[in-house]
Amino acid sequence: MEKRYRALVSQYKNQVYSLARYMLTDANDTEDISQEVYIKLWKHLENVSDTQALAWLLKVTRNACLDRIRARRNEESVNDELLGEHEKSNPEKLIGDAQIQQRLMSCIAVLPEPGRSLLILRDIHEHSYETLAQILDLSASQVKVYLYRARLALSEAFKSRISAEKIEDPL
Amino acid sequence: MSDNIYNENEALKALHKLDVQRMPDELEARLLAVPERYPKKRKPWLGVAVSGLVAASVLLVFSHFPGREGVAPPQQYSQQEIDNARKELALAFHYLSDASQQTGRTLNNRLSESSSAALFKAAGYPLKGSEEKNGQHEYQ
Repeated sequence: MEKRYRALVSQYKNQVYSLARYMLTDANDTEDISQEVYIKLWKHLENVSDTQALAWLLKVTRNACLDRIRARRNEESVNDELLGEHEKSNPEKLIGDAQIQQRLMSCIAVLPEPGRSLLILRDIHEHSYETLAQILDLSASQVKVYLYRARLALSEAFKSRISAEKIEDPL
Repeated sequence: MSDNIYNENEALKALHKLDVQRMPDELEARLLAVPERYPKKRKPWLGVAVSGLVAASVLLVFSHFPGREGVAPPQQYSQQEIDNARKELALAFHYLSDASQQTGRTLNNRLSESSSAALFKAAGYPLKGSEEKNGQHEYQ
């Protein structure tokens, strides 16, 4: 059983970590969630088949992240926190693609669900529509509709973000 | 490049450039140590239940196959024993046949008597010995 657990850690560790990282953006929270998810896997390993393992892990990760985001909202505004986090973690001015990617991550993190999860799982992790439908308990057509809306929302959010930065810092 | 990002397609292109984030080695080591940190406790009642089931199945098997005799071929009888059994069986059938003939005869007699009595009674000629005594019929 331990062998199987270790194999599942090696196989899907980055998928779990990356989903949590893009959803939460905070490195400490991401580590907490990853650990929480794998402890849960260890406790329920008998009930998770190898074929279901990836979908199960991503579903549990997503739910844990949503719980964490809700808990954060009770304390303070998510947007303020996320922007603050990026300022703290990146004190030096980023340039080029790295800068764009950092801003993009901030925008993804504030998208509404299920668009945010779909965008991460499809456009970054490149999972199939079937896997997405399984993880989010949606039909394939719902997945496509939500994904389309999420992409539009991301473009809009990004445009607004850049515009706001230009106004603040015209140089 | 920042200016180009105003274009929606550029934003989506940038999105596709984002990679799957790699889990830090330190965290992976912590995750691999989870089985040691959270050992699975065996449920004590499960052991008791399993041993009970095993004991019950063993008892069941032995009750159906008691020792070597249970699975041994059936006992062979001598010719004399077979002849005796045959005679006893014939005698038993003889008694049975006698008893059935006697019962049949008795029933037949009673039926014929009762039907004659009923006919004579209906015709107004009561048969001797078939009168009602104290309100009870003789045949009853």
